[in-house]
Amino acid sequence: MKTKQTRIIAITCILALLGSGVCLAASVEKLLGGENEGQDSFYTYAVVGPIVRMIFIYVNMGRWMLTYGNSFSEHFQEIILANPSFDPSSPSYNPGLVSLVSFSIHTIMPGYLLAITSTAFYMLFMAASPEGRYKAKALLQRLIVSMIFFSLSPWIVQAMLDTSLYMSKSILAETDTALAKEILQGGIWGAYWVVAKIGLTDLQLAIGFWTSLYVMAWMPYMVVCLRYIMVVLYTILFPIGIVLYSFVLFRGLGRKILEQTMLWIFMQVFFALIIMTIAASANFYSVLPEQDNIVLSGVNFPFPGMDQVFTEITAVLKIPFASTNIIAFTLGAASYGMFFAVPFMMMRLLHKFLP
Amino acid sequence: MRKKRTLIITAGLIAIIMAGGMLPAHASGLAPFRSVLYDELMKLAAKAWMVTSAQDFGHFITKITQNLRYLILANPPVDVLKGPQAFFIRMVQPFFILGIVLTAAYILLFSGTQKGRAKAKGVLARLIYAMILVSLSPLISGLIMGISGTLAKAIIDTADLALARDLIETGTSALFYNFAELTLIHRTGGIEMLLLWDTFLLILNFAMAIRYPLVIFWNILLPMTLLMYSFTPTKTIGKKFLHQTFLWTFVQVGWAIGIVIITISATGMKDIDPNFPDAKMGIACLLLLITTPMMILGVMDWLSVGVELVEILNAAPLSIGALTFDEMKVERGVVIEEPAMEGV
Repeated sequence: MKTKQTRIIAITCILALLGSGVCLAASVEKLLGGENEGQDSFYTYAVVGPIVRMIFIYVNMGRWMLTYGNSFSEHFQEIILANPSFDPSSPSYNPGLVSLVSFSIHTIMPGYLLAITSTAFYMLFMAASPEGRYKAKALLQRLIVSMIFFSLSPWIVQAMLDTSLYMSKSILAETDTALAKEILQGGIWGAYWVVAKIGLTDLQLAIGFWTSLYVMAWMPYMVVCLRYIMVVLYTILFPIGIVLYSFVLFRGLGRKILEQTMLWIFMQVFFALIIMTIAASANFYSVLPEQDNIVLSGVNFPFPGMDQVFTEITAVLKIPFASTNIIAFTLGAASYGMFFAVPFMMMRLLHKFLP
Repeated sequence: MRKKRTLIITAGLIAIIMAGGMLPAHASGLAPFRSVLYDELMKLAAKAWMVTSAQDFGHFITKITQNLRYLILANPPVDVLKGPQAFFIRMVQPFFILGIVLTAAYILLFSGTQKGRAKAKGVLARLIYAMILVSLSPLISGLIMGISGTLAKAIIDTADLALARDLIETGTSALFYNFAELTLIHRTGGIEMLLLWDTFLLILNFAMAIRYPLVIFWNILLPMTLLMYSFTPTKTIGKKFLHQTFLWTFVQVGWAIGIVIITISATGMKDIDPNFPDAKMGIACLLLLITTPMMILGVMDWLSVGVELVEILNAAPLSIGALTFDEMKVERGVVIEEPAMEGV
């Protein structure tokens, strides 16, 4: 895929430079009536400016597209399946995270022991009324259960991470990832050819599309990385969440922490599901009749009609050429949009699910 | 039309350049003016190039107005959903079987009280009912999408789609011509207008395209949604998910109604004021189509109040009412009439 795209960019660049060369050689003297006064403007607006922009767009941005632009669509499996780990044999094992979690456990554990001892002491020696004894007994039970979960918290988090990873892997195994990759690349390359088409005339005109190009390249990374960061954060907070959840007074706060931990860990499954959805959306290509699926050429010459000529020549010679179509562009853009829309919807929908 | 306009712009520019080129031969005293003229002509040519390029892109992105019907009525085929749904059905089935076996074992071997047995029977019935629903989820998906698609088609067929298309095209063309005019005055003068124009059209394209994967997404999750909806602890989440499944599937009906509204409003406005500018109306129509999914979200929130009410009304006789009726005992014995008092 990458080789094909490199070939398309190279061919486009060569043809574009050839075209500009033709323009340059096209009897400037004759056009300007044998005078030299207007030649500076001609070179600035019709030759030098477009060639500089062409080099910037096709060479610099083309290189960027082949590396950063394609990056997510080529590596989404590894990125989505990334999880922090407590297992020293795992490549994502982080000693800092482990030490932070054990620090919070070691800090809070004496408090638990003190609370259990005091409650037991109260029950044994001081409780006079049956109501007080009952209350203390309930508290003691809750403290013991909470302490067990609290001490097991790294293993609970690890179990949730493993379950999430297993589910995500199973979903991705059922998915035609090559198709998902093609659809994602259709979106970002569509945006690139739109930038090329409009940006060749003036880079400021393409500012909106340029932004959308960067959004497509970086936004999914940002969302997936945000999940990783949030998983690390809530892994550290998870033991504290268990403690808070055990006491009626702080139950609301504890519940929020526990819910957020679960939500961010299992967000991975939704990411895998997005990839599955993208692959299943391939039928959208056939929604429009072929003649209505309009094609936009990614080349643009300062002289009218020249880009059509090149497009037609490449079509006759069956050379892969710089172009996008409306369905590939919009479906690809919408697929990238799913990486923003779905986590946002899940954050909105999944709360207060714990008792 | 587009070719004609491009031809006129090109011919005009060539004529101006040729005229500029011929000017020095007859007016040697105008050398400083000639240089500025060349410069301005070249700038004008560069601006014209910007406008024609944007026009090419406009032709590409405005194509949506001609394809509204296809895009609104687009629904994923059920065959596409079967595989992914089967994955989730396979995933939840062992839990169902385990649940059914454990509950049945409890009823047969361990249930001591009548209350416990009744509760277990209720759970068993619900488990079987949920398992049937989950197994039927591909059919349910097909049914939901079928109803939505048929409804949308029936509604859109009542609208004058050509009128809606013309209106939207007039609106977007007005924005484009503003951009073209401002650009010809100054190179960057029309950028805001271009951004406005392409943002509107891109968002409409994007909104119509994102519905398709979102319908697939929520329908893939349908087995899980039905499973969660069937059990009391997870009912809230199941309800929210089911809500989203319906919402995104029925957005197409919202768009179809939007098209009908556009045609009714357009003819209505023309009846009131024949000189009402079509361009403004067209932009408003475009905004209506863009905001339709959000409006549907709002409407669905209002509808959910109705759904809650229906649920309360339905649940009342089954739960509280039925329970009251069940527990109520009327003790009737032989009625002995008291003897009438003497003298009364």
